[in-house]
Amino acid sequence: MLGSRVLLGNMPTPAPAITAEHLLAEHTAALRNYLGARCRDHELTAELMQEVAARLVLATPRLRLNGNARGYLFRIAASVWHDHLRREMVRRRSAMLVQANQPALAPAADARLLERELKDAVRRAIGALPVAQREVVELRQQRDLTFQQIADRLGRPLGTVLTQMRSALSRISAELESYR
Amino acid sequence: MNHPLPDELLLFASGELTEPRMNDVASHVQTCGPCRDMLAQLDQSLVALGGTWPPPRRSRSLARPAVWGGVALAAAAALAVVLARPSRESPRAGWAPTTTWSRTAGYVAGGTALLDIDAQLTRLEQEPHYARP
Repeated sequence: MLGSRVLLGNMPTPAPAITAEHLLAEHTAALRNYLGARCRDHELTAELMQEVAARLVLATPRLRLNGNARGYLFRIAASVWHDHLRREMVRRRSAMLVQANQPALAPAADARLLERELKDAVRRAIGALPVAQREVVELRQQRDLTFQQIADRLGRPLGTVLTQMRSALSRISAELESYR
Repeated sequence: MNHPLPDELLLFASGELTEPRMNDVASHVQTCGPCRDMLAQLDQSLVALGGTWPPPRRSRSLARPAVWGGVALAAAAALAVVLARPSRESPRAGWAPTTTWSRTAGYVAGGTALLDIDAQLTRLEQEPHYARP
């Protein structure tokens, strides 16, 4: 588990290999600070750190990081946090339906139904976005690009891309009122 | 510290803010309610968006070695524990529950539960956003 290697690609000389545990050790304090700020719970922070480590270890054999190992690590951390929030969102929604005495489904089926409902709402919001905003959202979600990479790809300033993304998120947020 | 700019909050929420601003913003949002609210709203939309599209397709030839690598590592770790276990003890003498409830993974291992780690890794691999930054 701890011997997985991260190769830093596109280097003129043979790429030095660093291990996942080196990466984690180097950035543990900053990662803990980041995740701690997200959840404000020591116990949950520790669990999220564990999940970041697990994902990093299993992802490293196929990575080419172009030298930005730290950035990759924090994007994993953000993804772990968002996955946690996603599960919480579905769980809360499910609890609300139970409180409202709606017919109970089996828990798994219930979660799937709610997920589908959520996806439909988001797709509707995306479909109604102005083209410039939709381009940013699609590059972000479908190509998994960073905002800087999207800016480079579209030939727009980074600030413009961020503003367009925020506008898109606001519209999506409005569409999701019922999920709060 | 002044409030972070909205663009910085988006970069922070996405894990793309660079140092030293990442640390500054992390410290700030721990104590600033309005910024935390804005961040929560961004998070909610990003979460919804992330669940709408499947992750970018990866080729099987790249993905499968990672999966088998994980299985092999878990098996090696389990073997190491079996070999290291003191042989004089009765198999049941030291038994204790090895998992505890976790809000992120459903359960976590408590140091010796390598089979649980294996199960957790398997579960993570089945997540739609597994290993996706």
